[in-house]
Amino acid sequence: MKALKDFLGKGKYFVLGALASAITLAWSANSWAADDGGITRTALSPITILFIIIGLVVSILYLKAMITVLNEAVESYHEVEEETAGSYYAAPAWGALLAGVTVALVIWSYGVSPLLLYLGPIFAMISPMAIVYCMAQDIKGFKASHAKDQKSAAKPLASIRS
Amino acid sequence: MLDIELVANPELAPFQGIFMLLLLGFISLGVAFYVKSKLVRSTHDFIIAGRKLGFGFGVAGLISVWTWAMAVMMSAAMTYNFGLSGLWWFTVPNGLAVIAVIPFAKQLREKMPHGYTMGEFVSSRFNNARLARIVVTVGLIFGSLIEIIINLKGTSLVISTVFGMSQVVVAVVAIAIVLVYSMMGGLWASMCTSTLTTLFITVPASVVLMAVLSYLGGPAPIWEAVAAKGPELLSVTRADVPAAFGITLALGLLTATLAGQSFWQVVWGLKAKEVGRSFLWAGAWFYPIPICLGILGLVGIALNVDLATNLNNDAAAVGPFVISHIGLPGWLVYAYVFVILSACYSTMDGALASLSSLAAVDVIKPISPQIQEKSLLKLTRVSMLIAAVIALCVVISGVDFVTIVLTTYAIRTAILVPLMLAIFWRKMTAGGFIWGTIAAIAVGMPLRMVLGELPGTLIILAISTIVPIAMSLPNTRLFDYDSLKQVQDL
Repeated sequence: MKALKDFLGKGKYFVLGALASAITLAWSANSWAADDGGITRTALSPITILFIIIGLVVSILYLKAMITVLNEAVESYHEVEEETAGSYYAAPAWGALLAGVTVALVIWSYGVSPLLLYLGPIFAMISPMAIVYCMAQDIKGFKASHAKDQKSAAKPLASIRS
Repeated sequence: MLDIELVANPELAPFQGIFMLLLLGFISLGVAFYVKSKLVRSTHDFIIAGRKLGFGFGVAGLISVWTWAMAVMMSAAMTYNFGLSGLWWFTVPNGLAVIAVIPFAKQLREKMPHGYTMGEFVSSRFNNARLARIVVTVGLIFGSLIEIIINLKGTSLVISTVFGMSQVVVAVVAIAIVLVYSMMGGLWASMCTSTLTTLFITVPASVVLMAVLSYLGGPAPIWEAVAAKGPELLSVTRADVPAAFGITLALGLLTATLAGQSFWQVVWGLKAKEVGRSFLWAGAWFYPIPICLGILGLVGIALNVDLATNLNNDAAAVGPFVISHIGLPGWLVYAYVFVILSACYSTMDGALASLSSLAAVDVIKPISPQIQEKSLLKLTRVSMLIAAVIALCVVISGVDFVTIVLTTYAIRTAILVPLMLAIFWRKMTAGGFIWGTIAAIAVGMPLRMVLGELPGTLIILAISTIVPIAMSLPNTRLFDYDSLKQVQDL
């Protein structure tokens, strides 16, 4: 919880604002309803409202992460990163297989049960969260490199003291 | 339960369409302005983002660049035409085409760390063979141009249909906005705005689909209505779909990624260590977009949307038609339009950025090697303007751009295998590369017109495989890939 609070910073007020907006939307849901020959249709069902709330929170986290990465990129503009040949983060073949098989199964599952049609919107909402994770990896990398720089800058002082 | 009268939403007016075009435009301009002032100080920054793109921007940018406006609509269209088999064959190869770049990208990023374009690679690989470079560069330029034309056309069609606006106005406003912010920040601007548009595609798509399902009484009535029309619509094993479009599409997608400068520019723009995992994650997390929006095709089937009377014989219109005709509140229609606009803008800015690198590295520099840095940056920006004007003229003139599409397709398909061989096979010769490509175009294209898409594509691929191998096998002078390290930054 504390980690989330720290990450959000002032953004927590936006999250609260998002929740308040979603609750207001929920209260006014009836005004969006259409009467269709005795059947009342509403696009703003509880599940849609839940998705709007999740979407707002995801958007705030995403924008926050994006701004942080952008600022870090600006700060490290003059830094030259050492590139060691062959040093790549893993992109294993089983990752590609897993992605392909998962999506094939999800599409197949649409034909198994109507409830599984919800998987599409659910995955679409998870997708930006996965990108937030990727950006968090970048932020971690920036922090690690800053810490390394500070350590190496502090070394001469330490040697003077000793 | 699904007895819904399909009527156009009366709330939608042309000024709302303009407002949406401008809203996304101003957001993108703001991002591009920040990027330009902080991160773009040279042509190198402009065309390759200083080779400092990270994991997050790499993944999000690639997803957005790969999500064409037409792709947003085609996932629903293929589901509408062929049921779940259509969605399966449209979606599965799409992400895999991005992932398939990984081995080639790793090889080139490691062996040629200071590269910019595929034309430059071919030139260095084949001892400055000019013809080989020209063939590849022409293919890549046409490829990027066609990306802009198709997306501009798709967007102007959708916005003009939904909001009752003139297609010309939509096309002019859209290309002007994308051009301005792309000219500001090049690849950095493209990747930053694309990262933002990935958010604008995924979250609204998820909410809109959830609202559509709720509005129609949940997924059960839709599913039952589709099942009642034939069990094959809910099956992924229809035998006719691979031949109808599946295999051709899969090959076309591979050529679009492996022989597309939008992707190679990102390969060289990413930090080296991020290349593999960025493409893997981008391919994997691209998937939710078509599997979410494809459901609109099932809704179209369930609601008896008619191809001729409702969609003007264009199945791609099924998504926009459903959203704007079932009686959803206006804000949900705007959210869907925002998804399409985001897809359009991000693909067009990616294509403009790729054209700028092709212009700088494969056209301007070879013609004028001693050109000043300032002049190079200026001319690089001018190349974007020229490309945008050409694309706009093609779209607003209403000319049939099938010929451009076919030419691009032929060149890209013909260079696919020779490029793959050039990247990995040390025996590959310049002659094999050039004559393999030319023979495939000269013989394969006429045959493709006579025999049809699938046999024609397979013939082009066969010729472009056999000729280079046959011509290069006797070669005893093996290429030293480490020599590519001599290629320097601009």
